[in-house]
Formats: sequence, C-alpha cells, structure tokens
Amino acid sequence: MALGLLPGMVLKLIRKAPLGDPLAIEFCGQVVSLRLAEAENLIVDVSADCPIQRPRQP
Amino acid sequence: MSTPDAGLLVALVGNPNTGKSTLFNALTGLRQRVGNYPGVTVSRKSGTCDLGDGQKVELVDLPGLYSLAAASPDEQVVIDALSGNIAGDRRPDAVVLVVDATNLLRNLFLASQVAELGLPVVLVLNQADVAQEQGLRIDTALLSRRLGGVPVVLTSAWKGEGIPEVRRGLADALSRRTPLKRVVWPADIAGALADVAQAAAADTGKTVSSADAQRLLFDTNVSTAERLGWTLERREKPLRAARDRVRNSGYNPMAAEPLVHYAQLRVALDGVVSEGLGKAGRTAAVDRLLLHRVLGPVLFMGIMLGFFASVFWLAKFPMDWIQLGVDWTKGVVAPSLEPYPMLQSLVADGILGGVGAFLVFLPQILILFLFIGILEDSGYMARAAFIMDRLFSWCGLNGKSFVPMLSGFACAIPSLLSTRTIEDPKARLATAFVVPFMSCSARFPIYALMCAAFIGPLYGPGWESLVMVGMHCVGLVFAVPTAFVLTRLVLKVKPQPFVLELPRYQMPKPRDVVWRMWQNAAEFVSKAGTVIFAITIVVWALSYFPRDASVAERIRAAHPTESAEKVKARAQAAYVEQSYMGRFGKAIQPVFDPLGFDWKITVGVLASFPAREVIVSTLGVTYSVGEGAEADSQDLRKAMQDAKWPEGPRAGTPIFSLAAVLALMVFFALCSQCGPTIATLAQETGGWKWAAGSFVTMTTLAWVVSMAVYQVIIRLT
Repeated sequence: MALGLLPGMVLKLIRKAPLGDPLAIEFCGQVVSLRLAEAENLIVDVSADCPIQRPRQP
Repeated sequence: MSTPDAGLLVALVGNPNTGKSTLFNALTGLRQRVGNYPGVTVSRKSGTCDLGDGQKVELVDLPGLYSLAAASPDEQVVIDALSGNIAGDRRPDAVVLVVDATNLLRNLFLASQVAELGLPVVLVLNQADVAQEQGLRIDTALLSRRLGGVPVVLTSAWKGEGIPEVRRGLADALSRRTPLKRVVWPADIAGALADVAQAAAADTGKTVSSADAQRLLFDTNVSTAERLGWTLERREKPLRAARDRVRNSGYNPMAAEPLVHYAQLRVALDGVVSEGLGKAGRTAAVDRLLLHRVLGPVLFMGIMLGFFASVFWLAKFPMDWIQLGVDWTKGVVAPSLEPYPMLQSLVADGILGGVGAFLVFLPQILILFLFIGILEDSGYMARAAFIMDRLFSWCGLNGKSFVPMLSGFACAIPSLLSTRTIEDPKARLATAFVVPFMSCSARFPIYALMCAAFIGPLYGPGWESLVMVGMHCVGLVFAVPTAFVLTRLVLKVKPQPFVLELPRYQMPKPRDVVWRMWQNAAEFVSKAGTVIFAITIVVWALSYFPRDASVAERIRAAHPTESAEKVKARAQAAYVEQSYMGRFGKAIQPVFDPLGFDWKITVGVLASFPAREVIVSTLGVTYSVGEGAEADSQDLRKAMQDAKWPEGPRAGTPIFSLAAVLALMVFFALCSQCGPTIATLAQETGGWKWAAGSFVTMTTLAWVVSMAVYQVIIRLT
C-alpha cells in the first residue's frame, strides 16, 4: 500500500524468482518483489486481449 | 544526547533508495556523530550543516521508510523523532524531505504523511540526473505552488549538484516556516479522525494531535495508543465506531489513508512532470541477465563465492601483519619486564593478547562492510534477497538472511552487524541467532590441527579434505532447523510479508561506502573491543593464579638433563595444571568424559570459551610443547598422537581416537565459544536474554551431538 499499490492500478509481472517465488511486479515505474502469499491477496482482472493486468484490492 | 540545545534541529526523511545518505554526507561533510536511539538498536546519525549564510543547524539522518504506519523499529523511530517523543531529543524545527525525482508519486506519499505533522519542509527532488536521462522534465515552480509554497530543489547528490540550493532552501524554510500542503480528508473520514482524537484525549487527558489520530485510526499497530496510554478496553469501542464510519462512507479503513493521499497527489502532480524522449533504463536490461531463471542463480553464486573468498583471503594478509605486530610488540616489551614475571605475563599474554584478539578481526570487518556497502548501494543486494527468498522463507527467515549467514563463514561479528539490513525484527532476530552456527574462520585452526594430525595420516588426504568440508557444513545443517524451531515454536511468528523494492542499479559512491565501513568498524572496536579485552584478562588471570614458584624448581630438579626450553614448557604445563583453570578443568572433566575429552582437552575447551582459536595454543601448553604452538606444529601433533589415557577403563588406549577427534571437531563446530559474538549478539538484540539463549542452545547442542558422535564411533571402531 505505502508503495502505491492501489485498487485500479495497472500491474505488470516482470519475472518470477528462480524458485517460482517471489514475483517481481512493476507498477508506478518501480519494480517490487512480492511473495506469492502476499500476491494472493491481490485480485487481478486479466482481460484476454490486454497483456496488462488490472488488480483490485480486496 | 550530545547536541547543543541552542541550535536548530533539522530531520532528513525519505524513502529507501533515494540517495538520502549521500545527500546527508554531502550536506554535513564528514562532521558526523553516530549514536543510538534509547532502547532500540537504531542508530542516530547527525551532523552539522552549514546553511551558507553563516547559520549552522544540526541535521539528523532518520532511517529510510515508505510510510509512517509504524511496522519496524526504524519506522517507529522516525515517527517518534518527528513528533518530538524521543527522550533527550528535541522535536525538529524543519524537515528535509528527500524524494526520488523519477518516481514522484510514490515518494510524495510519505511527504504527504509528514505534512500532517505541520513542520516547515524543504522538498528535495534527488537523482535529477537520472530523471533527465529518462527524459522527465519537472516543473519545480509549479510543484512548489501546488504543495503550498514550500521550497522545491532539484539535486543530484551523487554528483554533488544542487547542494548549495538545498542549503538556501533550508534557510528559506526555516525563516518562512511554510509547511507542506495537507491532504483534505473527505467529510466522514475527517469526522472519524475528530471522534478518535476526542475519545483518546478524553480517556487519557493528553493532547492528541491530528497526526496521532491518523495513526490510531488507520494503523493496526498499537504503538501510538501505547505511547498515549490509551488502553485496549478504552480504545476498542471508539476505534471500531470510527472505522465503521469510514467503511460506511465507502472506504476500507485500512486502505483509506493511501487512497486519499494518492488521489490528491495525482491531482497535485498533474502537469508537473512531462515525459520527453529518453533512454530506457539500463536496469531492466541488467536484470534480464542477473535475474535470469538459470543464469541469475549461477551469477549469484559466483558473485557471492567471490565475495566470500575475498573476505577470507584478502583479510589474511592484514591479519597476519596484525599478528606479527602484536608478537613484535611482545618481543620488545616482554624482555624488559623479565624481573617481574607476573607483570610480564599480564602484559604479554593478557593485555597484548587481548588487544590482538580483537584487532585481528578488524580487517575482516572492514572488508566485509566494504563489500556489503557496494552490494547495497549498487542495488544488487535486493536482487540477491529476491533470488534467495524462497530458500529461507520456509523456516521464518527471508532473502535478506543470506548475506549475514554467508559472511558468518568468515566471522560472526560483522555478520551480526549486517543483520541490520533485515527490516522484519523477528526474521532479524532469528538470523542473528543462527549466524554464530556458521563455521567461522576461527574454527579453522582446530579442524586443521585435527585433520593434519589424525585424519590425514590414518586415512589419507582424500578423507582429510572431506572431513574439512564436512566440518564447515555441520553448523549450517543444525542452523536451519534451529531457525525453524525458533521462529515457529519459540517466537511463534506467522510468516511475515516480505515486500521489497528492486531499486535501479547505481554506481556506489566510494566516499559513502568507505565512510559507512569506517563507522561500522569504529562501532565494533568501541563496543565489542572492550568486552573482548575484559574477557581475555579474566581468562589470563584464571590460568595464571595461583602460581607457586616451587613448581618450576621441582620440575627442574626432576628433569636435570633436559634443555632449558623443554623444562620451561613442562613448567608452564604444570602451572596451568595447578591454576584455577586447570583445577576447574580437572573437576569438570567428568562432564566431558562421555565426549572422550581428558582433562587437558577440557582445560583447552574451557579456555576457548572467550575465543575458540586459543584451543591450539592451550593444547600446546597442556601437552607441554610450549605456548607458541600452531596448527601445523610437528611437536604438538606428535605429543597428541602419543597421548594415552593414564588410568580408568580406557587406560593405555590413545586419547585422540578417531571418535574423540571427530567429537572434538564437532564440539568446536557447534559450541558457542566466542565472547565477542555473545557481546555483539546482546548489543544487536537489545539485551542479554537472546545472547544467553544462544550460548545455552549452542553449548548444549554441541555437547549432545559431540557425545553422540563419540559414543557411536567408539562402538563402531
């Protein structure tokens, strides 16, 4: 939240760590590492024709 | 605190990775003081900053943080410092807010929270050079107007650009006292905040600021309530009612604060930043390589092994010089004290030995901090944590535990200091707890002696190196389950979120890296150094007294044909045997009997509790080959190979059987035998409780495992 991950924001999954967890996610021009456990709290709306994903906070 | 009360105090606040420390160093020169905040292991760095017009202010560099919602001790210190709630410290007269010019929106969130404290502010947009490279143009005049007229300065602290403007801006802020524009809360949230402030004030009889009310309403953290003395029973109802009011207005109460701030900041930033054509960052390209799924870990291992090998090997030379220097000093001083044997021994073995014992760690500490500084400032440390996180998360540690654990193979003391990079206090504690298990370089001499004297001659060089490698793994094998037990059963932590920014890669600034290395080393010398010194003197006294001159006479009479050198060695052994340490060793030898240790080894083990590397020289003394014994000493190897049990059920069999040799090495691999480590652990965990816990755990574990090794192998062979 403090990092600016807010509802309605555009997220981009950059890469996964070598063991699949955590994830590197780009938003607001910055790259942040999130564990799967935290990323699970994000509700992401993936539209088929859009490579960019839209999350919603629970 | 040692600050002049008359002067003005200015706080430096900002997100991590904004170049805040570089700016601090640029503003203060190197006229800095480093202390600790009372009760927490957060260091307080302050320095004198010249405003250019003859006015001088005290600038304090607060820890980097993303939000005022206090989660870590660092963040709590920032809130307390800014609200003037730190005992012995004043409330700052102004705040320099350092923000990353390339990511204004996120950085201004903290600024906007700080605005609620109502202090005069200078906004410093740092890393302006990178922003320019990316093609970002920032209208500072417009931003200043939007934020209520506070001075806004573009800087590039790395290049030293814009520093005079910061000084002028600060002078301006202090004279005009313009605060940053505050956020405008929607009516229901404003009402809820007012309700909370009123209820808290009524219950506690204290003044509750609007900033306090926000922390009470928006955070699950209870530190503000505790500071005000607002008890759980009293606050529970009004807080629930206020949060319901926020929820009914359409906001999740736990998300309302960032939502409102970010929405208003977006409006304030509209038109401030214009994007032109710029080079895409190199960071993404470098990350494609360094975070590659296959190459990433390979490069990571390469970097870390190189890092570890350099700490190990580079430090060897200055360590040898220090040893030579100490020995040389002994050689010069000792003869002149020949007429006073006690004073001679105190100076040569006690004082010089004690000084040498901690000076010898300095090169490793300096080199380790140099490398850690480079890894951190370049941005690679966050990637290392990203790569390693999964391997550590299952046992309650996190990716940031890796570097302290790896550097623990060189020396636990700098590694314990480097756990400060871990924000989560529980993970930090668990990491600090397992770091002393790593096979540090001080364990090397005993492994080397045992392998060269017994494993090599009996089983060949192949087994010798295998045992050597195996011994280095023993600690690690026990450390990971220990961390698991500690975090799951003792601390009972739920897995903590581990959110980590992967910052832009950047060239580390040599002055900052060297300066930080120097500060850490100075702290080590002043804190651990005194403890190491004191312990060494105590052990010296225990193995020196009582000293009856007739002992040497009797030895001389009993061995009239031997050389003076040999007689002296025998006398020394006899003295140790009848010293307090020797008597104590004999008395508690039964405790170590199941491990296959005779009283001579027991004395060696006891004498090595302050510093395990003294085992080799102590064995040299107790096995009468003189105290200059080294791991590669032929005399000592021979004396040990020939040693037999004099009496009891094992009479006539070698003391150093395979079982005893392995048990002794395992004991040294696991036992907590390092005074400085215990002292540093106490300092870093804020009390003797965890240091004592570590000592008891490691020593018990060492005894149990070593006993098992001895009992199993003695039956097999």
